[in-house]
Amino acid sequence: MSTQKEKERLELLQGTLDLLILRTLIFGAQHGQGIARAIQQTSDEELLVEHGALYPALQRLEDRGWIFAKWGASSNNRKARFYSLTSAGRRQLVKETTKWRRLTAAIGRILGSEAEGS
Amino acid sequence: MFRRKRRGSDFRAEIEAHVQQESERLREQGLGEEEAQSAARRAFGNVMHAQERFCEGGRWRWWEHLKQDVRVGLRMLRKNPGFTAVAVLTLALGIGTNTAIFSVVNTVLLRPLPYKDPDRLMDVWRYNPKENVTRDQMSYADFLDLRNQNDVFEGMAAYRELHEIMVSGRGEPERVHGTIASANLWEVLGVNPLLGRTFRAEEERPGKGNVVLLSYEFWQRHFHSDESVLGQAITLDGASYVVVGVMPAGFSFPISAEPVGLWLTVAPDGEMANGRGVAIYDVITRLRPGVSVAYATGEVRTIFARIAAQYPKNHTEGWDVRGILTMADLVENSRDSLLILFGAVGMVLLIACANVANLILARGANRRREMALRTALGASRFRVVRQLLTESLILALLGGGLGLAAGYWAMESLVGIGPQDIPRLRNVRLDESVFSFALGISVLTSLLFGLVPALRSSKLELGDALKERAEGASARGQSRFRDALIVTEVALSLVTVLGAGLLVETLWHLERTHPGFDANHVVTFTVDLPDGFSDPQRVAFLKDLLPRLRSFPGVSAASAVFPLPFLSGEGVTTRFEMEGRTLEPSQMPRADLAAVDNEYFRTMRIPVIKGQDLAEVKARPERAVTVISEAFAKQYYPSEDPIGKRLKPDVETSHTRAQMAEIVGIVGDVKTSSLREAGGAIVYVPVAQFPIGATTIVIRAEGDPRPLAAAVRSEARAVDAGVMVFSGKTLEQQIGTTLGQPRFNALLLGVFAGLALMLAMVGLYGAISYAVSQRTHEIGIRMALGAAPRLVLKLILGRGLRLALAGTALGLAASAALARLLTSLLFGVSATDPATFAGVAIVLMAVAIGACYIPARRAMRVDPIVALRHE
Repeated sequence: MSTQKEKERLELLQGTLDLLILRTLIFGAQHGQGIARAIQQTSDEELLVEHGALYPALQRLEDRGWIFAKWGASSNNRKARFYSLTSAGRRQLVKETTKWRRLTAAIGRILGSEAEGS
Repeated sequence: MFRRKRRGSDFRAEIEAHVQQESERLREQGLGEEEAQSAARRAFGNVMHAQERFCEGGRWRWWEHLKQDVRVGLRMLRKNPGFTAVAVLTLALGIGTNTAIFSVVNTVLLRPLPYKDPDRLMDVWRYNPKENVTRDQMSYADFLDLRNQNDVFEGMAAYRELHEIMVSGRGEPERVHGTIASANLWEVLGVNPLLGRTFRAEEERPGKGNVVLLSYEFWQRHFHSDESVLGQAITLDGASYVVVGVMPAGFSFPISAEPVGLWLTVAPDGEMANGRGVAIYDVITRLRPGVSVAYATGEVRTIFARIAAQYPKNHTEGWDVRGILTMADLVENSRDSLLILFGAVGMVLLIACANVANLILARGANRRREMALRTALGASRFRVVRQLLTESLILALLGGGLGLAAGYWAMESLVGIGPQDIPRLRNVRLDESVFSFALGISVLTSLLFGLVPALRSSKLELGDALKERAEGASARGQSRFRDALIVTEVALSLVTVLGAGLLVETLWHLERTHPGFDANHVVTFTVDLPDGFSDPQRVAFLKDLLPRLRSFPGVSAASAVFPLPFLSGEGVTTRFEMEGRTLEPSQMPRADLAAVDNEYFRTMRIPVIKGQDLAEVKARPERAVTVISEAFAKQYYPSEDPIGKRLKPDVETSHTRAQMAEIVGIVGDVKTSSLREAGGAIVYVPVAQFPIGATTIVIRAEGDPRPLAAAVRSEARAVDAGVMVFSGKTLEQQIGTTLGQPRFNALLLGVFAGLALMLAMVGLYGAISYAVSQRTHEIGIRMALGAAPRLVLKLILGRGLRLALAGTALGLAASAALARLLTSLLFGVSATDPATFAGVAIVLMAVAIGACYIPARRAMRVDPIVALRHE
């Protein structure tokens, strides 16, 4: 994993990290490192999750009651804090996903027309 | 935000787990151990940063914000060194004076007495409103009856302070302050000796009382802490006493100006034991648990009434007893003045607070844009108020620290100049309660001067504030509030200046009060004759000594007297039989008896009003003579000429042979214990006729009387080698000690009033200066439009004077209500003396005009061009 490659990755937009975390947890409980890995792998290593930024986000989601956490053992038998979606979290995921789709569609239209115009 | 229970350590553990998982994964991909670790950490980013963000949301936020507030506050204060210095100094002045006075109040009025359960100790004394006796001691026989018949006290002890006892037999002879007490005194106080024992009950009986207890300090000084002194005999005033015990360090009883060095038992003999006329004992009692002062007093009064009915000769009409807690009794004479001083420094502190509040408000106006910016960037009002309050708290703590240092210095000075008759003043220390007090008032002060400005500065219209010259509604409100502060300051300073004025006048009146004799150039000596001198020998000694002294160069007159006016303590008050009148004891004249040498009136320059001076009378053994004071004549011979009438003192001790004496003259009244009193009724008898008590020599010198001391000593020794001569104080010094409290009060209140006035005027000056600086633009326009400089002067001065006048009026009204509290301290001036009120008001207004004139002149000199270009 070279430094060059890291730089080319896309940094996450503000607010999108929450959405991605919720989305990742839909497949079941996961710990922080697992969430970070999952996001990177699912995006074909295109998205960079700054691991340090992940935890305050998890904290925030926990505060809002969208996820909850429990200490448990990981697959390689290490102690880790596992996060799961609450039902409020599921509803939020639906809401956020819809919002995101509308937003990207709108931005895509603008960028598309601009591209045509230039 | 406080509901989360998750700890920082839990968060750290989670991060650590993450980093381990990540490095494991990297190792699986083939990285080395160390490489994997560092890559994992790099991928995580800044751990500290993540933690900080965790904290931001958690309960650490409060602490973090505080640290931030303090940092910002300190930066603001550093950036405005002038403002900071003025505010800190002002607060230091207020807090320092309060700390100093509190340290005194704490020690003298609040600290419990150093005995067991001091709130159950009660003093009992006699008084008689019918004879204007507010307080008198008790006879031993009465005391014994009260002790044996009551069931409200656990213990009841009698004691009497002895002024000086000559200690010899071991080491250098020394005179120490002693107290005689009944054997159970230590039981009543609940204090055990350090060494040996206290007195036994049988040692209170006549002939058994040759035992002595030493104070720790005296034992250390005189006997070099030698424990072998226990059981040994020492000589006290020529008699032998056995040392039975040493009290612990710091123990003293009674609490008085001079530390008590030793205690003897009450061993009254003959007349002292049985006579109910010799009332010379103070009484202290310990209440049984649960018995109130009022209930105990009632019980004692009942018993006393029974005793009085049984012995009507010694208990004339009107005598009664009263009980008061020992602590309250002790501080009765200094409580008022200390509380008034405390009140005065409280006012100084309030004025200081008002000044600092005004400074902050003025600065707040300049910081409105800063506050608006903070608010615009999302700071809540609470956050802004807290930032401002933190700044205030920093100021107050800096001021408090400086004030504590200044207060310590002031406290030392107070103890140094304090009068002797404030109990326990010498024990004043900077202890933890003084520290807590200083800290407490610093915090309180910061709220007092910081809260309103903070609330006001934070309440603003964003739009208004961000605009440069907006004078919104809130600004007008602020100016009204600032005016109210100035008016309050002026009013408070007037109150303190007025109080100081009244006390200074009191002192002035006291110092100009003529005591009835001429104290200038008079020096006094106490003469101790060897033990075993008979009365004729004492008389012969004086007859020998006085002519020698009179012939001494520089001596214009010399005489002897007992008791000496203004020498506290020993005085003989007695009843007199009047020849030709049969009177009930209660109607018999009551007056002080003084034994004098024939030259006394000439030496003291007491005028002979009628009849003859003793010096002119040829006294013969068969013709006893006496001279009475004018007050005695007026009181008891209102309608007849007392000259030629005969009197006999009703004193029945074994040492004196009272006889009918012919009144040969009337002399002017003299004050004998305080300049405040009116000269009382006194009967003077020649010492040859009535050789009572110790003798004081008084000498009138032609010049400075002090160098005469050595001569008096050698002359006295020449007459009799065994004689000791003490003191050598001038009569002026003797009177001066009674002026200690009035001087102390006047000096301190004067200083505090000076501070109050200064602070108030600085406040007024600051407010007017500020108003001028704010109105420079307006003044410029007015002048450009043709307003004369005089008009501008009037405009500015008028505003200042309106404030000063309002403050003065308010202050006068408050003083009229408060000055009554001073009444007990005043002499020669009434608490509502119109001249003083008017004088203080005029002084205050004059100073106020001065304080306003300087900024007003500056306003007058405003150059319109510069002023208009200014903004």
